[in-house]
Amino acid sequence: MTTISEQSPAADTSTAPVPARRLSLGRVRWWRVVVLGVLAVYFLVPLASTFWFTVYTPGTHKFSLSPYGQMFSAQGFGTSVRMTVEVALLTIVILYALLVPAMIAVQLRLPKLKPVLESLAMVPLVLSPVALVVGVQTVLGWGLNADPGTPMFQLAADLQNQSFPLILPIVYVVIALPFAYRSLDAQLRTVDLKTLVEASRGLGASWPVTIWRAVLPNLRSGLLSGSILTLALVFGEYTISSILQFLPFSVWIVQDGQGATSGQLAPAVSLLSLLLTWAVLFLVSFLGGRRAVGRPDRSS
Amino acid sequence: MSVIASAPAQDAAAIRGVSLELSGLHRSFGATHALAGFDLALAPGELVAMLGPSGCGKTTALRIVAGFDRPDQGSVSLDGTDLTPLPANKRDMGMVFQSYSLFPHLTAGQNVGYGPRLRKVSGAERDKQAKELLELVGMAGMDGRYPHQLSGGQQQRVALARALAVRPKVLLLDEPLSALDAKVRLQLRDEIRRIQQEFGITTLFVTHDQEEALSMADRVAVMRAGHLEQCAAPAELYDRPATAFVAQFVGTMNHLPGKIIDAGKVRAGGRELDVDGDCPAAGTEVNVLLRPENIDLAQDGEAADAASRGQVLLATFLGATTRLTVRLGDGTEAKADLPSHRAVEFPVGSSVRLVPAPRPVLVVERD
Repeated sequence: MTTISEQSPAADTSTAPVPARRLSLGRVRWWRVVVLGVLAVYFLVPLASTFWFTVYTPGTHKFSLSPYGQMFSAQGFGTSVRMTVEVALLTIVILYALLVPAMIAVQLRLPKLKPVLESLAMVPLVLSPVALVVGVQTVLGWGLNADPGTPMFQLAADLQNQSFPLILPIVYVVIALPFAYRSLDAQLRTVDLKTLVEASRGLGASWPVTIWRAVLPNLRSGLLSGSILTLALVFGEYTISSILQFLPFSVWIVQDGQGATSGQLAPAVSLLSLLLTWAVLFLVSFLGGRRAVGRPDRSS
Repeated sequence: MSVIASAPAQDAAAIRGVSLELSGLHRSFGATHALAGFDLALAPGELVAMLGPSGCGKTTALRIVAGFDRPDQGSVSLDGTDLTPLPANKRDMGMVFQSYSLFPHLTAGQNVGYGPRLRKVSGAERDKQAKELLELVGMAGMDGRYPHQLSGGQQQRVALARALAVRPKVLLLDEPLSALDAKVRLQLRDEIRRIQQEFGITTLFVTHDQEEALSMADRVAVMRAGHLEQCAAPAELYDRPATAFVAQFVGTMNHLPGKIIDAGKVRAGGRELDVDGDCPAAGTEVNVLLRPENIDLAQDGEAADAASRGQVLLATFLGATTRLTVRLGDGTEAKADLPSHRAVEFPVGSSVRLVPAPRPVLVVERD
């Protein structure tokens, strides 16, 4: 129905004076090149330098990719990566298990509480990780000071299990809260949550089924971007895990990765993890953008 | 519009006929009383439209029937069974919303199959049913499209098919046409009515568009401030409004100045008319409510009552009839619908006198 009116302006632009158009495009391109160039220098020079440092040994004037091979056989690499991935995944699960029902409940039933939830979600941004970890240590200390064999002691010991420290995902949920909240909130604003929920409930779905089948699929890109931010945050978090004396990936890079091959292993691992994170980000944008929902045409 | 297939006989039989009763519904939001003792009963297979101004409580009543809201008092029952404590997902009702409510991540076919899937209907059966229902609503071959690939009218058709797919006992329509453009609205209006009659499904329809209500419904329930003013067939509602509010709200109504001259008699437009319904005491100044089609015009004569004399201000051609707006001596404007061939006798600016049809009229006291 709208094709004629939509085509006409397009036809008009094709007959517009060509020189003026070229001039303006030329200007845009020039500035684009400058901006992109500055950005490229800013981001790529440190990365290129890091790469150069990992492959070139000044003393012997030799190039070698051996640090990239060594990392997989380095002691503690596999364990720390696995632990970090597990902690990150558990963090994401706990985070969304708490956040999704809370945000849906606030949006649908208790909109007056939204500012409260928003403020709570922002608190971790102003909370220093050092202050947080001191508090966590104190609480864990209460348990460890209890008599061995008591549930309190056992709980504190389980939370600090070296092979899988449960305390880390619990603390990371707090520090990842602002990022996950923002991603999810932005996505929720684009969805008519009330109608979706009522449509699903009216068709016979229970609340859990409604959230699983009608709501979550429509929050997918928000959930994915929140997850990726959380994943990146957990992979890069150093302060809390090192003070609590655990050895996830970030702490391993600093402590154990320094030894071999004139310190080339640690930057090689960092570079690889960065590239890996980028790859995941691209994957997420691809998955999130694939089913972008457009606005419907209201005509017949 | 393509020819629409008949609904499968067993589907129609499974859905057909339940009665719905809303009794003494009260619902308040803070100090606002959205419903204040609202009663309504629907016979099996009947389509009732709830009509009223914004804030009259019609959507609140519909949401209570659907189970999305709970009444403070009162009950909703289906064939005599009280539904009030049941949550929305246990009520077996199909609802079409005002806003586009299709699940954006599902295709049209999957949207229609959403309800049957929850009821453990097999995939093949669901697909077959979805195709049949989409064909029924004029969307054959569109089952693979996502909502954002459909127009507003098409989305509402799919929403209707989705609501019917769960074989609901009652169909609830919450202003389903209000977001559509005029042409699509007219088209879909007729189709909803035809499908509703084909299935014989009891239907409650909320609208603020009186033309929509009068053209689609078996009965129209006019609401005001949370209660029912009148529920009657469209013709009865128009011709014999029970209250002054209904008379003013439904259709175009003139308010002509008049005076009660005797018990049950009013003088207006130079004529004595019988008063229908409540009549104030003799001597009371009133407004007489008259439809434009119940006012005729005549050439102005010296003998005419001054109150009935005026000047033609505007002529609006409506096809078979023309609506003439007349300004009376006291500044009141009156509208009269005349056959177009007669309306030409009264050009704009000409002096005329009103001739009310000699039939009982409603009156309201003047402020």
